[in-house]
Amino acid sequence: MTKKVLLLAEDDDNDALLLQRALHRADAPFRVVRVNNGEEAVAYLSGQGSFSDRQTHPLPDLLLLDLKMPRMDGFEVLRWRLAQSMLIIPVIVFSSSTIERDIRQAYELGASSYAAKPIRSEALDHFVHALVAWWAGVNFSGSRIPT
Amino acid sequence: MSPPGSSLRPGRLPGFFAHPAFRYGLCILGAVLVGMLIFELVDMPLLGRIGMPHETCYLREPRLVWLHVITDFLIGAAYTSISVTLGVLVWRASRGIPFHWVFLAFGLFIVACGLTHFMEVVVIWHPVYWLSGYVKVVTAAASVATAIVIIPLVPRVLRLVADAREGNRRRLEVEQLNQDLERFNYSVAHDLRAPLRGLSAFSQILIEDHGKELSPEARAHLDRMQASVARMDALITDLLKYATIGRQELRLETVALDEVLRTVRSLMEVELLERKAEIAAPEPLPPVLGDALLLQVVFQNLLGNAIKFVPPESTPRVEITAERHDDTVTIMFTDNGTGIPPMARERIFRLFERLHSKHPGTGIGLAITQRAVERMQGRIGVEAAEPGPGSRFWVLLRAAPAQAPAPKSNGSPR
Repeated sequence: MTKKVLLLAEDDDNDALLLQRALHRADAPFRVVRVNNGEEAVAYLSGQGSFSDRQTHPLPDLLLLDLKMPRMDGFEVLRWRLAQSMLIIPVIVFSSSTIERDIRQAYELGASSYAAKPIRSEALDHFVHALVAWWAGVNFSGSRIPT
Repeated sequence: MSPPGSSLRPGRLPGFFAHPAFRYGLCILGAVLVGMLIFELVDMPLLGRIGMPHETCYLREPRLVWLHVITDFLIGAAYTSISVTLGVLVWRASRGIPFHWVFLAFGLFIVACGLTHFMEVVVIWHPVYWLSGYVKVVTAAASVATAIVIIPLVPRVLRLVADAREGNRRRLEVEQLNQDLERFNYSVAHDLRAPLRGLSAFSQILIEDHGKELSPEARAHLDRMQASVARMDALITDLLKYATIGRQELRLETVALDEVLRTVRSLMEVELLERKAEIAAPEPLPPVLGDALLLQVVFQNLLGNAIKFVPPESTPRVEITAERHDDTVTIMFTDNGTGIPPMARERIFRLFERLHSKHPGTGIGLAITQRAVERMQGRIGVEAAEPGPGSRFWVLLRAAPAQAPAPKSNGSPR
């Protein structure tokens, strides 16, 4: 089974580490590529600079996006994506915030899904299982639509 | 002149001006005046009469006479119109204008000036110099009085302007504070939880991966750490709720409390089953004027509280009743809990105030409830339940306005 590429835009090393650990433990069929902020995420998605080689930096099947990041935050990444007509990658917002305003704004800017970062590791495992079941199982990504 | 009712909009002018008789009178007066003037102008053998006043002043030059007649007439007419407008403005604003009497003084002054100009026209044909002089006396009096009264007004108007500026500055300050608060909330929601996740997850990993190497004491410490983290997380969540409850959009409308109770019951189903709690509303609850979501918050917090502080061996019982007095509704939540000492009855609504350290809680729930009630212009309080033990929380809200009888079909409940 070919692994799907999951682009993780996350500035917090702890959060990135914990998620990668949980994905690893769940044996998730994802190859995780991590970028540290929104600016890098945009550079990666548009293949700029050091990300221009699509062999080593393939377009992701899924973007897991933190909201509060330095330089360019998640909302700005969503806004940028709205302007890219060719980019049809589902974006899952993965944020600390459970504020209604943040959730609504994320969906208004075209987020495909919104999940709150859990505190307990059982909850994180639960999130990872759901992520695998839906986004690597049931769901068709834009780039993999069967013809 | 247009027919009555078309150019003037009745109802938007004070009754006197809107009255048809007034408008007809004005039309007739205007027509008579204009007619008289035309008659005078056309029919008079202009300057043909020896001994006409101003005969020499105007050099027996008809065009010069016309120039003076027309300009004086226009100035007089404009002055009259201006003072009428000022009068109407002051009347309509009904004292909303600061120093409105100055406007009236101005009006008098201007109308007097207008009269002076009309007299200038009249004396061309009629040598009514005495009358003209008396009119000038009135004008002089009005002018001098106005000139005197506006001088001490200058510092007061300047103060008014300064006050307005100050008010504007304060408004901007409050706006700035609001924005800061918004940013603060955002930061709490996003940044404060990240370190907690680290703490929680890594201590959990420690237990999972290295649990066997740890002494039972070390594991107990780690468990306490976990509990602290969970508490901090609950605190953050509740603080955010408290911060946003005062800021979210308010929709005051008729809300059926029975509907609210039904919703909250289903939201709290698990909790209620766990505690085997009995919640009863013996009579139907009346509709109130409130916000459905805020009312849910109120019911959820008060019911949650009522069933929480009950000795573990007894079954929590809450009775919800309501009384209507004139245009207010008092909802009462009577429980069989441990009760609240009279000294603490004010304090419990403050942020972070807790009565029982053994029961879980953040000390924010009742502060949230109070804020929700106050946003709906209501009040909340607590007294001892009778016969007791337990307490009775009361919430005073505005009653729903009387409506036309509701349609029979249960059309569109919210």
